[in-house]
Amino acid sequence: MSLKRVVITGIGVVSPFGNGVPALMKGIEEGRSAVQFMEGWDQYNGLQSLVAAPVEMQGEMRIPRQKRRSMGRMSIFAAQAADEALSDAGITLADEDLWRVGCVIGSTMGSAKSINDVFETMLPDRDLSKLNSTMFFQCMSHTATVNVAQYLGLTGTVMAASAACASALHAIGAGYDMIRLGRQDILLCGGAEELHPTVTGSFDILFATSTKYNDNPQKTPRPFDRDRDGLVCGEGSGILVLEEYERAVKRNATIYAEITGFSTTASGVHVSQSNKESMITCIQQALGDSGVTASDVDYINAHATATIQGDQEEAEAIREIFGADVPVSCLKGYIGHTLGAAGSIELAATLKMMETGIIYPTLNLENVSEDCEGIQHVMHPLKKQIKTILKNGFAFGGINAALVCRKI
Amino acid sequence: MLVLTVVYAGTSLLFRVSSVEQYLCQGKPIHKAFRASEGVKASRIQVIITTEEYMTEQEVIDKTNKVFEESFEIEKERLVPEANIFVDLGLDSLDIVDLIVALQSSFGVKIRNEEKVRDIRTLQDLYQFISSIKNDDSVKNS
Repeated sequence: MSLKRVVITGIGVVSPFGNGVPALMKGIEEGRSAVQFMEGWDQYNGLQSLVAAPVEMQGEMRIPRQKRRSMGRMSIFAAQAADEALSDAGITLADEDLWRVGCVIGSTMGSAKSINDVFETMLPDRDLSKLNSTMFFQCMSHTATVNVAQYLGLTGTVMAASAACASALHAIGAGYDMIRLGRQDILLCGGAEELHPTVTGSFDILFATSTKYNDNPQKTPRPFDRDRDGLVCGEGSGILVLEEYERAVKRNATIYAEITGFSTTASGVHVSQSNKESMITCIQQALGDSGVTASDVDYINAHATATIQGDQEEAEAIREIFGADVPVSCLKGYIGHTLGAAGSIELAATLKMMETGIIYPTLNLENVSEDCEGIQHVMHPLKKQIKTILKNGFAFGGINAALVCRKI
Repeated sequence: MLVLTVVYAGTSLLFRVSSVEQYLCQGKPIHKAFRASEGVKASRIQVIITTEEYMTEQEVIDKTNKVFEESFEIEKERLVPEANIFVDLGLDSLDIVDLIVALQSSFGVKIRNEEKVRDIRTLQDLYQFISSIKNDDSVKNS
């Protein structure tokens, strides 16, 4: 059986710059930071990082109430991003065989705010009677993908990927395989995540967050920079329309790129620390799957969360494979680390860079850290024809993911 | 409203009065008049007075409708007594769970395990149910 080809024909995003891909790209083009001081977070004893990149929710009332009631923040973001992606792809679901259309959307966990609300409601009096019927649907781990499927009426494969900060790339990788194998024709793939002090807190207690910039939030996170001090959480959703190539061509769809390679590996070494050996294998396998060599890659969109150890390991992995020949940048300086959504929001922006031929620099990278040298850091907007890109994503649990896309 | 429960010899009598004055009968508290007529000992009579609010029908309707407006985003104009909660107002099984939670919180009652909940179809049914529960409940709580 020959494998099908898989292309990306639509993208949709809700990011800290607002709803829609244009808002995201405008923020990046203008070199702005969406990071801000979070009022009220200082009430959490022990929380050192008081900065984040929140989304100002808008337009959620357009989602019918009975669809919206089971949605926490992240599912609303995902539904809105899915709407944009479908419209961008020019797909009208009513015209499709919906058994062949599904979604694979990942997140780190269920809606953080909803989970907190449940326990804050229930625990003081150990009383379940105040819990409403839909809280559970907001808390469950596959909440984003289920809500998108219900909202759109999808009846094909509905799956969730949960791999912390590699969730979105896992979702895209799984969707890529399902279409390659001919199991589905169209899959909405990506990730979603929402901000909450307890989410930042999970990194904060590990000393992985940025804590020195509470008075100067726009200067952090600082990927690959000498003065980086940790990650800053963001929120949002990125959804891509993955489609079988022949049918996309047949309907004259605009094709952003073909997904040509994917790999995911694990370090098996440490639950929280990044590991360059397993990153290298992951990237090499993705290149191999794609049938390209390192020299074919025109741009690398790095994971680079601005943690001391993670950035160093990723820079070393990239250096080992690509040397200083391929431009590398990371978008977390603009929108923070959107965790389970990072892979898809950042891939969406990368596809737009591919379209316009402009590579945007790593915001807040002012002085390349010694331990991150030897790779081609993009410090200013760079005009370049981009044919092949590599998108990295790494996660707690020692999980690595790499995706290769090529323009056709 | 005040709710007065007069308990004597295993039976209880219920009075709803808007003020203590209404509890007087010919200048004497009702239970004393009761004693005089029946020849029973005052010490055997127990009177429980609660200030639990007795809700008028209109108060129940207004508060119930508010739940429908706020929790289910239903316009005021559609909230007519004959409206069927499922067919006309579009609530489904999950909404009914939320309706119960919201009504319990709004009226300070426990209705989740009430059998009679299952018979409710229209808003009017619900108003009547709430009125009976609420006003019985205020006595139970006393």
